[in-house]
Amino acid sequence: MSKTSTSIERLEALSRCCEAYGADPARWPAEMRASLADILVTDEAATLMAEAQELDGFLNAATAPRMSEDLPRRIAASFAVPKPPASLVDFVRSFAPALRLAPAGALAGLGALGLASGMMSASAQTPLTPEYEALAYLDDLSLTAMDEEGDLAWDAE
Amino acid sequence: MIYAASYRMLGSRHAAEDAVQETFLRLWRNAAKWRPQGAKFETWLYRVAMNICLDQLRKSKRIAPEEAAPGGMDAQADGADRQDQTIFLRERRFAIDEALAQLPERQRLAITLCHFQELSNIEAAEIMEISVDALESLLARGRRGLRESLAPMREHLTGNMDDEQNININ
Repeated sequence: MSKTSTSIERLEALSRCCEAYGADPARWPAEMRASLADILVTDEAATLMAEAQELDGFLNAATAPRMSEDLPRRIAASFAVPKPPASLVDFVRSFAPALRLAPAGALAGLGALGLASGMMSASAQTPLTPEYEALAYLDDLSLTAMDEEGDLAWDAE
Repeated sequence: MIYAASYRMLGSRHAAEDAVQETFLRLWRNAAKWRPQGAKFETWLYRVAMNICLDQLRKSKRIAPEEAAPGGMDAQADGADRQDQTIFLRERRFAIDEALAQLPERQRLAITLCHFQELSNIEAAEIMEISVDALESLLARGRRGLRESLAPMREHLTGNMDDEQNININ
């Protein structure tokens, strides 16, 4: 195979890659990123990537609005958390007024929040039950409510 | 992550929150039935959430992106330049949401998982229960559709990019 035809084939591969994944190599499948790395500096590649880059910019600008801050609590309150040991119940109840949560909500919240630390210490050895996996993701959702970037992040500065 | 993906699919914060709540309720009720079989829990979570979104879409037929509500951080903008910029950003987001809403569901889902959620092509294909080749085809057709939808507004959408960068820096 001649050098020219190889180069054309690789530019075609780059074009297909940009069409599907956009212009940012970090978003490409690893094998594509590796195999196309050396042609990215060429003018032909720059032209191919420019169009994809513009659409990437538009998509990146379309941030999702923040979700309601109380959504994780609403969800946690709507399902029954596995019954914790009695001593833990007493412990949580003692904090419930300060947290301004109903006891059930406090249990759910604490279950979800406590799970993250539990996961860190136990995940390597013991697989979590699906119920606790769900709680872990609910915990993640609470963080998302705080972290989700609004469309005017610069305004917060 | 589930909320953001649901928002992309449904175009409405309220509908997305309902979908998230339904996802967790369904997970909770069916958790005992889940068997890993090599799949990550996250993949299962996404699959449940996205199926709920697709069900909602089929019931409501079409999504209508809601315009970004005034108030909140938007209202904190001070000065005429910032207000113009706020309006520009809101209009741009609406235009892009509208273009996404016009895509066929599967193309929108592929873009949601790969671009917005930054999942790998293998994970996204697994969630959608299709091959990676099929996923790439959906992505390419979806991005082409977006480009065509946004083409008439291209100048307007890029018009204030420089100003936006200045505000970001300051």
